[in-house]
Amino acid sequence: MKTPLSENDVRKLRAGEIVFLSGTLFTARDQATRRLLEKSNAIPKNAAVYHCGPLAKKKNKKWKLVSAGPTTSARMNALLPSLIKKCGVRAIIGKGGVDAKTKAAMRGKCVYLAAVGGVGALYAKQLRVRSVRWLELGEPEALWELDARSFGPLIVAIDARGKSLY
Amino acid sequence: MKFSQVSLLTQKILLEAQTRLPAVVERALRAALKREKSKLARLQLKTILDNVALAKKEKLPICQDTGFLEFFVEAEKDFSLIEKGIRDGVAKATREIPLRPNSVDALTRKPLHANEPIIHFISARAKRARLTLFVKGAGSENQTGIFMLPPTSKKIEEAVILFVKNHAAHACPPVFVGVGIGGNAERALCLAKKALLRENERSRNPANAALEKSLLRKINALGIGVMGLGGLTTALGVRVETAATHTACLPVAVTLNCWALRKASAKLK
Repeated sequence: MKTPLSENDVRKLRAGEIVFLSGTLFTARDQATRRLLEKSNAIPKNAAVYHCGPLAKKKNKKWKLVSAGPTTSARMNALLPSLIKKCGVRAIIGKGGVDAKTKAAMRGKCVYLAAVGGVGALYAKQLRVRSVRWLELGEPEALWELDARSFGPLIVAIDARGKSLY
Repeated sequence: MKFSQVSLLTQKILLEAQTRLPAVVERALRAALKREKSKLARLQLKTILDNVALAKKEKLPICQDTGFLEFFVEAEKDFSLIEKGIRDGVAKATREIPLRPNSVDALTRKPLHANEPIIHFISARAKRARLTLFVKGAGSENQTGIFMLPPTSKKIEEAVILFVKNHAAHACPPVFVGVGIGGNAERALCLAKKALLRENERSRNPANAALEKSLLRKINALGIGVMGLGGLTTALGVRVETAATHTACLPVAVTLNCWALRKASAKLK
């Protein structure tokens, strides 16, 4: 599938399906998610947000990902309903799932894609760094804009109809 | 012993622990793949094993969370020299492997752009001097609990299973479950960590081994499965360590570790 995803695209996905994503992704975990609620135009509408604090290396002024698997989505639970509403997020990629309030906020417009936890080296090979902002939050917490090429496998773990595998 | 030798040894075991999964852990993952029938469990276990092979081949950290760096120093003397060597080795490995700069100020959350190691010193005879590293991701460390049970309680197993039931999905299962029983509160937590570092899968103490076996069976019956998406394998192993406690105390500590049980150890010379 290609990002940005439309509302229609995500409504078609069913819990249990396996997908590979290509196109732009934005990483945002604890600190970046908090900041996105104040600066919602920092990412475009219909974005795919990846719960990931990458391990990256800077060589000749260019960032390269070394290891970039998912982080626990539940830590961001309290912020996610507002994030979906304010930023129009279409897909959340992470691990471990989200709570009932977030699930309700996702209904009809957003899916949760489960990446395999700990698979950092392999996923990093499928992702390139396009830009990075908010590095003052620290490398793991910054807002990384990534170019994905067949990023996966990802599992539709909570679909837009509210069906969940957890 | 020289400062530079300790620094080099630290860098060596950091590279080993971050990029090569212990053989016994890889075997446990393969055994789980053989057992699993669910499509999603199998796909994820295969992806995990592909990642382990790639990390080993290209010397890449298995997981982007290069974790807490916890060192256990067993030595007779030279503690301050060893500590300096470890700190130097951690700083160099952070730049060179590289490792993710994970440390932040606890209250302001300001990034320190570095890794602050946790170092324990244990007295040992000079010929038994060792440096052991335990790499534990935050997702696993966050899933840690301590219960001060009534001393006559028969509910040790129940407490451990309930904890695993509520927390395993967030710790990148299939998990390893470290259980520490006895001592005082912080001793019990150390025992749970020590259990995860133990070499042999089953305790040599028959009572502990029986508890490990029973817990493993009951935990795998929970059906949480790989990454919480269901299946037969919720835990790859359960390890119990015990110590003497106070007659009026029964501390039980549980700490979960993701499938990537990362550790390495070397002789200190």
